[in-house]
Amino acid sequence: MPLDQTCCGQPAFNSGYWDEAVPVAEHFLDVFGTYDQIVSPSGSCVTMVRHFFEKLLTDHHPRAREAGEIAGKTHELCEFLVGTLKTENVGASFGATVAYHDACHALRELHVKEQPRRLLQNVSGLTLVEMENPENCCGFGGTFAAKHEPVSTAMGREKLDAAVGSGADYVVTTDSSCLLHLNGLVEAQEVPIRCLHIAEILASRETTA
Amino acid sequence: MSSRETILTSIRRALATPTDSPHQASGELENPWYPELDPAPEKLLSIFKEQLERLNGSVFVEDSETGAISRLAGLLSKSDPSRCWYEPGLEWVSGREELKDLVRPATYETGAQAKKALGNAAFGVTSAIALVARHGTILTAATTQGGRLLCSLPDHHIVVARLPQLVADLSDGYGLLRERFQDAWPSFVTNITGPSRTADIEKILVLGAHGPRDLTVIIW
Amino acid sequence: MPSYCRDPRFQGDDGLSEARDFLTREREKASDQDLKGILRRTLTNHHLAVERNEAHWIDWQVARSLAASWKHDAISRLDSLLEELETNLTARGTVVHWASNADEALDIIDTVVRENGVQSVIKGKSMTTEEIGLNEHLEAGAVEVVESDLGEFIIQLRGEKPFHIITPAMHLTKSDISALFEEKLDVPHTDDAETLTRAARAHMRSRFLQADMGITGANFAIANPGLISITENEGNGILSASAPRIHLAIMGIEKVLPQLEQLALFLPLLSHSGTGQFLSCYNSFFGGPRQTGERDGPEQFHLVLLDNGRTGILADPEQRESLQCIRCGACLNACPIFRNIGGHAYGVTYQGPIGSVISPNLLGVKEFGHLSFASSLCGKCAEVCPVRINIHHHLLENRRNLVKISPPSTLERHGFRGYSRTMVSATRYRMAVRFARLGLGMIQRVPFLKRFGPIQKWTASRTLPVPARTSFLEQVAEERKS
Repeated sequence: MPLDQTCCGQPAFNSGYWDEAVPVAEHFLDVFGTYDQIVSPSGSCVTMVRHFFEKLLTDHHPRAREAGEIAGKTHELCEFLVGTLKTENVGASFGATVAYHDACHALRELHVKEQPRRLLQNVSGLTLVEMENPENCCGFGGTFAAKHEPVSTAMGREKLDAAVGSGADYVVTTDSSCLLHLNGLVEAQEVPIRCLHIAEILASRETTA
Repeated sequence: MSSRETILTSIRRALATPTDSPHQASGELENPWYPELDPAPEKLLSIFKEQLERLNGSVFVEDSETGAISRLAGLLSKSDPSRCWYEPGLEWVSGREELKDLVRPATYETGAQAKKALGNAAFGVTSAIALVARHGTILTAATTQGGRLLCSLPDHHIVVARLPQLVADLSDGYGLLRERFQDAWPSFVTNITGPSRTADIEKILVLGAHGPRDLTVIIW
Repeated sequence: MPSYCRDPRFQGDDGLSEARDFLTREREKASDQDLKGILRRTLTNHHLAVERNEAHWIDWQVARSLAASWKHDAISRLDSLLEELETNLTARGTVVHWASNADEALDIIDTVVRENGVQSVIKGKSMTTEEIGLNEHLEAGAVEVVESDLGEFIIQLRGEKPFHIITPAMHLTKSDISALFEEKLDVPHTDDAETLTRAARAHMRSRFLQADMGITGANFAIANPGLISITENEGNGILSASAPRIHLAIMGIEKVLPQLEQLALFLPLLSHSGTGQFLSCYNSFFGGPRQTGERDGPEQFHLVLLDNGRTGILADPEQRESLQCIRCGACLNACPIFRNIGGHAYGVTYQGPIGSVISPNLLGVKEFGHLSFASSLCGKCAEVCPVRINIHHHLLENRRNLVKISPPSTLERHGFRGYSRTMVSATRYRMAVRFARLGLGMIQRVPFLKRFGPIQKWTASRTLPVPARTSFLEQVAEERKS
């Protein structure tokens, strides 16, 4: 866990500030470049490193090669556990009904869909349910959440209604950005569900939640 | 510089910087995107019938020319003959005694005459170039069916066809077009896949928007 | 100025009025529950139809890749294909016109109208004619224009723009349409879609037969043997092109493909993505005016090839891919933003995800770049695009382009500069984390701070997170020290 890590640059990149994102990406390369494997509990950060570093640090950039290399060894947590470590059961226990939300970057850019579900299914005491349209975006989208608040909120409400409708006690996903937004709505609008990051469940040894 | 020159020059200048596609262009223009169909005529017929009936078209398979004529007569007799037209020269329709009082040849020579004749037509009887089994599609052209309007203005479009006209796919149909029209491409070719329809009102399917409300294929 | 719009950038007309108006419409439409209801129903049915239809393909993903590669190839030879198209069409008596922009296209059409004494026009559905503002222009010149496609006819009667590039009246209920027909066509009120459709059919019949000129668009053009292809379900396209004595089609230059045989893929591809159909009811190929030996058909056939900004997109290697679009509307149907605000909110001809990509590049990045920001970048559009356009990536590129010439706000620009300077240093980052923790804590204790500008946009509907006492990184650092 390198202590001088900061950020992958995505917030600036997504908002169109690519020049501002470049030094942040370079710092990421400085901090993480020497490791064999890099794991992050965030589909959106991993997407930034794997797919968008090469857009930022294009062919004529002196560090383009490093960007290409780091892309090949950066993994999202669930894909690392299941794909690299070949583990689908981490020995966790969490007694509750859980619905998994497919975070957009994890799903569409990293093709992470089955792995979190398999990991959750093997959690002792956990009942995994599918909500309606689990692949629908939660509405966070970075600065979109503020700039386009009416739509962002409507999308979040739809996601939460689906989660509640599935009978789940918890809505769970791979990305904190989604959770920031969904949990904000849950609390402000008193939606009868709780939000958790999948890592919190996989680290859990609780039998009742 | 004319606009033509301006546009072509802009295009050439732009394309001086090529781009790559991550997807490999296939040299093959033939269908590798649908599973192959059993080419046996009875199989193709069965698929064609199923597809077109699913779309609310009707398909009659007759054993003989006599049967086909009888079927056609049965359909046409429901209407006033002055509103029934057939493609002139349509082989086993023109000159048939059983049909002469039921349907008239669309021998108009101009668009204005065509509109006058067909504006209120009940039936239009035409041939086809091919019947495409895969989609339940009728491939026909202005030169082969007595004009564009005969298959599009009447309330009920009847296509008369022979079994060997069945082909598996659109690709096969377009191959036939190439053969037939290589030197003289018609102004109009159409792929007809069912009677006219719309779902513009709350996505509710309604048949008979502006084209024919009924489509019948008689095959023998 | 509306209360939610205290952002100092929205001050006066400096090319940003479009952005401001968009936000106003967005807010209005997002709270329209009736609209939401009808869109939800319609789009759910659409998605079910597409899902069912997927079973027909050996592998839909392979079909998309093939279509993408063929489109890429066509665009990479655009000049020679257009020339071949022109040669083959002209040989059959077609008059091919080239229009650099909308004004030229309108001039060309005006000339055809004038030279032929055209007083009435019947139209097939064409978004290209919307793009150039054709109807208003013709009507100003005392030419009667009637839209024959049912959806277009309905919105024409209402005096509206198309709500969706494929389904122009998607936002209207049966009841809305019945009221409209009652008012404009004297059709007694009815609950029955079939009755309404019959009324439109009857009304339109005489228009087809009497119009002097039919104007249509084209879905594809084929260089060899030289024709344009029109896809429809109603039959009004065939009639608009065939009944009047003149047929004029207008088409964006990017739509040309090399070979007829490729339509055996593109026609079902378009139907699948556009409407969830195996194949649309009518797919017609128009290759010229009435030929010798043909019994009917127009005496004149004109094709107008329209640039209007497309060569500009072609010249940008990043954006060139967006010209592959076959205007199927799949991305609109997939987009959660479209589903919440509908087509009218966009305020441009081409709505939804692809519209948000091309509109800034056709119309002006400064004026319309805001459309590229109206997206959560979920990527569902790219997932459904039948020609594999990476729509959401192009939105990112557009954002970068807009920021370079006109950052959405000074506050934001400074904010990201500060972000960048902070994130390149672990020390500054750690300080920033502590500051953020303090800040969030303060906001919790002093609620009126929540109403400040950008924060208010979050707190209008959501709580702010309560930060943990120590971050994970800080805990690890502690552990390592001891």
